[in-house]
Amino acid sequence: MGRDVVVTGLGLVTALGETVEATWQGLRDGTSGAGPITRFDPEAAGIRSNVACEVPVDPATVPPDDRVDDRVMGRYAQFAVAAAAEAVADAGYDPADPDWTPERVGTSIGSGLAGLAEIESAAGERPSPSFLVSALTNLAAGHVSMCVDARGPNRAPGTACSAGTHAIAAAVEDVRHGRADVVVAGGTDAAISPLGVGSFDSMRALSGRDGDPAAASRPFDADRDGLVLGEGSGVVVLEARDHARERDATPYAAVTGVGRTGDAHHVTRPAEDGTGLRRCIERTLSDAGRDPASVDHVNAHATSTPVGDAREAAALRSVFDDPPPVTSVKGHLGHALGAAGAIEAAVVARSVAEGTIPPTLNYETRDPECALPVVTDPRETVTDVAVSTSAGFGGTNGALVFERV
Amino acid sequence: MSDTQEIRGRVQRIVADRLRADPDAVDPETPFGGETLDAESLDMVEIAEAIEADVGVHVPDEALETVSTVGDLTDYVADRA
Repeated sequence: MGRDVVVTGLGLVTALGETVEATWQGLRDGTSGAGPITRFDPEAAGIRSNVACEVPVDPATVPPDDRVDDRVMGRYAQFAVAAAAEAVADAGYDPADPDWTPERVGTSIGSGLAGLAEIESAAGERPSPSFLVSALTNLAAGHVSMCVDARGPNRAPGTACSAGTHAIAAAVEDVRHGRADVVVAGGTDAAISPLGVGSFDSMRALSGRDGDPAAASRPFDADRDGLVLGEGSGVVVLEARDHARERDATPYAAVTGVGRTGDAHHVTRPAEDGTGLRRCIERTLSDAGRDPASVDHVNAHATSTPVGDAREAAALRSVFDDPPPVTSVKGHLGHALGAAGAIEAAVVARSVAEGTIPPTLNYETRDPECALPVVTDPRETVTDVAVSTSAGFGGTNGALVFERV
Repeated sequence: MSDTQEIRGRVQRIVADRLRADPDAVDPETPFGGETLDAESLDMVEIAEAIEADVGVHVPDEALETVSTVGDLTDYVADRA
């Protein structure tokens, strides 16, 4: 199994703000990050839905702003660089410090749609010399590695809405197996553009609650009617437990289990009864050496689509005889696609460290198809073992186990 | 040809085109779930989006769940065109 892995730093850029603190407080307080779309005119683009969870600040203005260069970085890369800078500083690291050993530091940043908005803006014209590097999926990982001087393993999973979770899973394995001592890992996406929103709109995957944006994203609620697109980035600093101990760093949590599966079923719909996700959670718990009964909290993927949530509920009910408290942050933050799993990993690590489970926003009416104990108020409780799940188009699943340290 | 017949013809062509079926093999009795069309939910959304763009009639998800044959869909659209 190799070395134990802990989380020593967190960074978040979400619809609730450009810091972990802003997001955490907003989650606790039940603040919605949703509002009318401002990044473009949905009506002019022929889009029916007019609600999204946009990041409210320009990432190029997030301190230290000299790291984010919007002339060469796509918006998805800007988010990742800002979140990584916060995570690395939060871990107590300064890449300019002589003790920073770049060859032992890896980078693993996933993205679902990456430079979709950049490609859309550039289409039909002669591309500028900097176009391609503003849009490639791996350029978030590339820019993060340059900003923090990380010369170890470098990767960028593109596994849709599981990308952030998969990036962290692979980074955990890098640390376990000694390929790196520290990995800056997470996910990022910035797809609130005519093509990004329009793609989900035409699939009829979006909520139609334009008149009440704050109530639109409703994980597991009986009246959910589709997802609300979000954006942003979540980054965690993963580190060998011994390495963290030697420098007296205080971890948020340990990551003790990782797992990935494929549904081999359908391009958009999860497998019947959520069997792909069920196998993924079972693998992940097995990797952690934990019994389902030991799990205290599940951070669910919960896209808030009618079918997606029902299939996930079926998966959770088949893994757990008596499901533990379940939450989702998508009611607050919308669905940030490839960033979602990474944002949620940072939230779960903070939740385990603080002993507070953040509430699920907009869960009002129990759906018999989603018979789960959904938590709707901040719950002060000791969480020894937490599971976070992700699932993406193409039938790709991921899960992580976090434990209290 | 009446307007209604013309609209029915357009809807039937959209169905055949989107599902890559032989137009001559598609008639009002053809079931969406049968061997000829073998449509699944994403196909039905594609067809509904194409009808909205071409004929200007919105077919909501609730209606898509109730149509079982091509005739059901052409009736729904022709009644609202």
